Amino acid sequence: QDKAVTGKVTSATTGEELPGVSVLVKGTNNGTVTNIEGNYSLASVPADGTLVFSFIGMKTEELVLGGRSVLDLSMEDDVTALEEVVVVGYSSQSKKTISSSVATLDTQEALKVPVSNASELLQGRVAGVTVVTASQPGDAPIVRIRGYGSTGNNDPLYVIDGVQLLSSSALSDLNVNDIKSVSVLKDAAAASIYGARASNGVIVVTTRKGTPTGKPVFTFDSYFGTQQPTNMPDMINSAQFGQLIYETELNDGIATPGHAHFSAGANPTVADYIIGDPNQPYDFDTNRLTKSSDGTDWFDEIFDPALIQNYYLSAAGGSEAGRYMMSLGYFNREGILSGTGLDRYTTRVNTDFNLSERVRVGQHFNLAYSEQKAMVGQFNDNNPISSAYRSSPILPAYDEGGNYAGAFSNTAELGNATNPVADMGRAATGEDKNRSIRFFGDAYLEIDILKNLTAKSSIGINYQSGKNNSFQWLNPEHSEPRSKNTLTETDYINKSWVWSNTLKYDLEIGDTHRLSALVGTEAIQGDSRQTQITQDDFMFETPDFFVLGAGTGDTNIDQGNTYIRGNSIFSVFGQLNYALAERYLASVTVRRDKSSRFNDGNNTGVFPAFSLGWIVSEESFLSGSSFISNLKLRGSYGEMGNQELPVANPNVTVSALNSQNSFYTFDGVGTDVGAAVSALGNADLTWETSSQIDFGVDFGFLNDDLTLTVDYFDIKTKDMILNPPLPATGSVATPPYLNVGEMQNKGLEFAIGYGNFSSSSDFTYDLAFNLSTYKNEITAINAAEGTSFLGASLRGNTVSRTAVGDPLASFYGREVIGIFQDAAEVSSAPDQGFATPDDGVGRFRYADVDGNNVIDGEDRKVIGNPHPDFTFGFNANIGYKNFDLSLFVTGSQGNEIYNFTKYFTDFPSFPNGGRSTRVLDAWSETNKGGSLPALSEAATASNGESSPNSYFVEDGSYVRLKNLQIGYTLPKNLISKIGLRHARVYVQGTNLITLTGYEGIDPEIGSIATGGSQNLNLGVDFGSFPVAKTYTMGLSIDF
Amino acid sequence: EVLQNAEGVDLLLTSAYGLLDGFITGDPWQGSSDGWWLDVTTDDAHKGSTDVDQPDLQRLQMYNWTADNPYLFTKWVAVYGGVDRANSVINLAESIEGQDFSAKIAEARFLRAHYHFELQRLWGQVSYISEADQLDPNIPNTGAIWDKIEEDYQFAIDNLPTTQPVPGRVTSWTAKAFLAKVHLEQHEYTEAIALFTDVINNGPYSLAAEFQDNFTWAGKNGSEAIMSIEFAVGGVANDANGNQGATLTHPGGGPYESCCGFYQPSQNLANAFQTDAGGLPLLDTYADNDIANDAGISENDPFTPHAGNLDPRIDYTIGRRGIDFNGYGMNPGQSWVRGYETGGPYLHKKGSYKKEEEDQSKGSGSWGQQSSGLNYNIMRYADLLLLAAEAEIEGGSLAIAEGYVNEVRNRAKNMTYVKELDVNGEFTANNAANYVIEPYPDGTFTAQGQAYARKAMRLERRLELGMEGHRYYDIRRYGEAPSIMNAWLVDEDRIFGNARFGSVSVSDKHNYLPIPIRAIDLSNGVLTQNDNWK
Repeated sequence: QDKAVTGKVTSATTGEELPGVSVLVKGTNNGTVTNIEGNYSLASVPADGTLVFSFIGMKTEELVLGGRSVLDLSMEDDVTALEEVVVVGYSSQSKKTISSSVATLDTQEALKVPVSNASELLQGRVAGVTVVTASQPGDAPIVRIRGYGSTGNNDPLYVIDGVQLLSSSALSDLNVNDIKSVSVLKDAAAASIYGARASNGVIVVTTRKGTPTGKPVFTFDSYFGTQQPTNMPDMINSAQFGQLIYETELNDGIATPGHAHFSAGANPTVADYIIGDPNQPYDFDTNRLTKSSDGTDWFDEIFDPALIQNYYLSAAGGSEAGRYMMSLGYFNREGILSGTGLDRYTTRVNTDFNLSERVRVGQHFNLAYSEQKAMVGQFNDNNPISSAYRSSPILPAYDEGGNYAGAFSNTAELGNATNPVADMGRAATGEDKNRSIRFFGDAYLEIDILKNLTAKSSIGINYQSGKNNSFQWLNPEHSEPRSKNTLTETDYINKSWVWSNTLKYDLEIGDTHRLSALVGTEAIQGDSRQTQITQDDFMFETPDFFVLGAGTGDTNIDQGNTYIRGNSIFSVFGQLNYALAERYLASVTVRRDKSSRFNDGNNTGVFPAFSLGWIVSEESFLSGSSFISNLKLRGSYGEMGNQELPVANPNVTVSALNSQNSFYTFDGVGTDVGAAVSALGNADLTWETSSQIDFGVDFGFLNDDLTLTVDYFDIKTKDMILNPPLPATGSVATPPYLNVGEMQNKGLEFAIGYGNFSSSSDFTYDLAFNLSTYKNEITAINAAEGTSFLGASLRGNTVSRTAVGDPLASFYGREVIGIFQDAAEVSSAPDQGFATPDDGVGRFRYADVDGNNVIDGEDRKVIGNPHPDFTFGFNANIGYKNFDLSLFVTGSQGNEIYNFTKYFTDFPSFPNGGRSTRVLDAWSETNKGGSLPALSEAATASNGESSPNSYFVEDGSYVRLKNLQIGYTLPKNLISKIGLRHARVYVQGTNLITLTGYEGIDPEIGSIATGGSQNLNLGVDFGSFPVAKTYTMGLSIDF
Repeated sequence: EVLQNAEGVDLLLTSAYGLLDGFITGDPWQGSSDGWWLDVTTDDAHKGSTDVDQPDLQRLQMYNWTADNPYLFTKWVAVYGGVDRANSVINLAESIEGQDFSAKIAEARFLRAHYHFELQRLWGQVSYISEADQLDPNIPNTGAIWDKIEEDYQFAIDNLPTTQPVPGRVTSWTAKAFLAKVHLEQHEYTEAIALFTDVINNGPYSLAAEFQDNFTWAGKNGSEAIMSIEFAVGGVANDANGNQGATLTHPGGGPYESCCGFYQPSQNLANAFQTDAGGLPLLDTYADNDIANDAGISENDPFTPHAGNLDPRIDYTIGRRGIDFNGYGMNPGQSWVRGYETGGPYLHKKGSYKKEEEDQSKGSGSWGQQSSGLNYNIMRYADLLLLAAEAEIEGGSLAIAEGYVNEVRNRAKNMTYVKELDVNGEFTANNAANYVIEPYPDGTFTAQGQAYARKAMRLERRLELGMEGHRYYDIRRYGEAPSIMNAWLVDEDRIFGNARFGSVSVSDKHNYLPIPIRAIDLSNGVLTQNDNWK
């Protein structure tokens, strides 16, 4: 007969009560979950019934009731990491029997660092993943898996609960607190199931789900703190500036050196007032009286401490029949560059329902709204940071009336940089913002057709729409003031859907054969629409009027930024995993994709991969060894594609009506519409294919207290896509995308972990170190396309070049081999074009690369490599009773940076602009060891010293104490009295220490470009947003 | 293909005209087709602003020419971009069956010739890109391409109408005028004279009554305009149909409140406007004495403008202290000049818009720049008359040449002169300076001989066309760029009070610009550096 049963479930390891354990009468739907004290009660259980206890992370236990009415259980941890389940493409797999290269992120550790974009979590924590942080709040970091496989798109594919996203910017709309696990599919065997989108690797993110806890578990997580600017450049003050001008003019043969704002003679002093008549009162229109500054620190003016705060509340729970997880989040990070910042609101709802024993449905829904205040002119060397480098030290930020100060006239000898304080201040007042609303998520239906045969269908959607507005104010104080103000508004909608259907079959034959098979189909369709409108001439510069229609001038549609694009893929795929005797592993994957981006004949591809593994530690000669607890050898080979391009239809030539360069006026009054080819197509284009070999070994020693994973990879990319510049005798349209050549990335990855996991002690520690290398080389460029590709031009200087035998985007220019000390040295050196040997004294001396005794264009060579020798991360966690400490160090070694800011600060590129204190070490007869050429405007220009050369190239290596956190978990007996399950408080510092020889603001340099040319322009610093030193306090509670 | 029709041909043709201004990529001024930065390398003008402002142009001004100068690459790309657009028109028109597009193709071939002509004069050894080469334009630059240029112009002469419904489109007369100039450039005087004579005697052009009409908004496309780059402000974003290439050339201070103060007339050019008591230029001696200038004189100190005889065109060409500047009132001196010590005391007037026409011709852009809506005269009738005079002097009749020169001088004599300003800034009835100008007395050229006539004609070109972007080409066509420039460089140091230009040296290699190294790089060595610069 039936009877009531009660009991208490505790943890065998800790002895604590376990809430949320599912207790089910076997073979029925009758079940419950344990309450907060770990107690459960079931009303009517057959006396001979069996209770099944299950809980995530614990071994499931079945206990026969045997007539008892009280049944307590001490549950054991489902311990070893090797039995972890790893989420891979379209399924999950036991980590033990996986034979491909998949890394998982220790989310518990990674989530400690305050980040604004989830992909920053990967920095330094996963071997094989290189991350360059985007320091401006709201920007996406650059994430690369195993180097650069393409001259085009190198972004990995992100799969969030099954929704495929192609840009790390999407991850900024995911609340990091919602993340449960992150897997990185690195080799072909793991990634190729994503076929034509897989060659840059795949990052699979799953979000938290509810567990059957009965009562909801609430989690509140919050931190707040302050960010500080660090390591600002040293610029000269006004007195040094006056001396600099004096010496420059003296060297240039000007008989009476002088400057409008300095006294004449050898020791110039700055005048008290530089603008306006001091004998008259201040007047905004006629007498904007401005005092001179002793030396304005423009970096100090534009960088300020900034707030960071994060609030997160979630509720999770449910029963065996239905589970939920809901969250709300608010994140706010002001930028240390004043005026910048990000506000983000997120909410998520994940549910799962068991409709019957065999049918499950569920959904994930993520909604995010964000507002970014971005740096003005970010990808432009007129941005505020560049302007801070270029601004005159004698000019203050504000005039005597409290208005923005400026030169007013370009005849005033006060430089021609815009006042960066004004630029950012006006953007803030004008409420320039990038607003985005995005939802993504999916709904799925899963049916167990047979015991081992499961069908799943899911539909995912990613929708983003946004509105960006910026207002260009009049800047009357500027030396080159704008004559009209302009409002720019951009509206866009990006949406895509993915429909995936899979059938999964698991088969075990005896104890020796284990087989799992997966087949599937997938359809993906995406499109984007964008409109950008500008309007001129606003009579009132008050933000209330900053709407289209309020201006009196022209309203124009920017054709270049207005478009409709679409693309689609249809795919079938299959995967077979086989394990023999739990130790011999084999896996085969194949995917066939058909893409709308290419023409028939080039648009269908088959991407196969296979892997083999051998778990040596399961062999009889090792089994039971206490020293070697795990040893697995694996190898894989496979092919993957890359079809991502910044354009939808690279196969067709596009002609456009473009008002900026294809219109004309035949009568000199009106406007005549014209059309010109704006982009050339290539009907023969096909996707990039990369083939990858991977060898790996996983070790576990001492019951896996010590683990080591080593991987070697060799990736060859063929048909790499690029739109190299056309010959200069042809069209000025956007060049066609071509399959231009081949590239190779080889590298090693190490991950070592050590901790006292297997012993239970008040003192716990866990150390992890990883190191990644990749060596990138262009191995072939098709003869027709040339031998090299040039990067972007910065003020006429092309500093990056991609050529056969070199790494992608190598720095290219002249090699400075010294400074000429005397005329005799100039005479004996190769001819640099000096009129007389005396003219060459104190000037840069260049290497004669071609040995023809003349220095000319042929004497340029590779002068630097933006790729690191290796990147690394070290994480240490130490716990003692309720205290815990974690420390995380990451860094990059051997990469070089082209410090383009020296163009502003070390050479007289801009008249009366600010300069670095490095110029104090200019060469002179009395400072023959000087590191810079003699001060001269004329000679600097004529000797090409600010043209690309090795003086600008610096070692960009750094080691950074990324995070240091000290936490305290409040004692359970204390907090349970106020109804809390768990409470922890912590303080932490981020980016506390950076060791680097780099002289710019910060060694983490992204690209100076976005989109297609991003990868041809790596590691060039023209004023990049620096990382902040951040101090935060946080609190995390469950109740 | 939606463009596969007559409308498509028109749309592509419009964009082929659209590149006349030389702006497609890079900084607009680097590709500018109004010749202003070429003038900066001549005795007519200084770069202006400070030396390190646009250092690449400073290097051009100082004859420190290198193949990596971005001005050269931007210019190169823009002009070849024009060739490509002309080829697009031809290829499209030829692919449409059943319609006669020969007049449209003729316009396109005119433009293709025009762009190649510019390339040929600037670089000497250039590639000719035909419509058949459009998809693979990586063609070697083996030598001069005069024959191809002539073929294209001849096709245009044969197939263009004699009039067009809009002034910006070329006609068979335009093509004749340019083919004549192409022959003159090659010193083929007989062929040149025949064509010039045809245009002068039978063509639709005549001198405008007012010299100044060539430089105003109201006067654009008058009887004197043979071919202009048509500019307009408004209508499109950033006034992209305005003259973006000349945005640096407006005064850096003063009433324009603008960037950037480049392109300043030289003292030598100002001196050239001196006339003798008979109203004739001082052919041999104008450089001996400087007309009064305010170099080194503060605005607060008194200054008296030059009192001697002057050609009245000076004050429509050169902005100088004490004279009205384009209706903005009295030029006060230093505060209107951005780089006084580096560019001298004078301002550029012809291409700068006029006060009363601000509404129609003052354009703007995305930063502090101002694009003007004034047309640029690629060729105007006075220019043609003087080119014809040159051909006659070298290979025809000195008497006919004198007639052409005097036609130009008589217009200058009979035009309205710039007036004096009173203390209230109002114009008085008096002339602003002591203007004295007369034509050469009949028979002077024949009497004085060819050398005299040559000198007179060449000086007349400076006086009539100064600051209009022709001087760079003229002194090279004369074959005298090194001697003219080397003499001037020393001479011009006088107003700067230091050895600013004295050490600069110009030689025959400077007859052509070096081929941009980036163009050579992008061609994978198909292009080779021209012989002057190897």
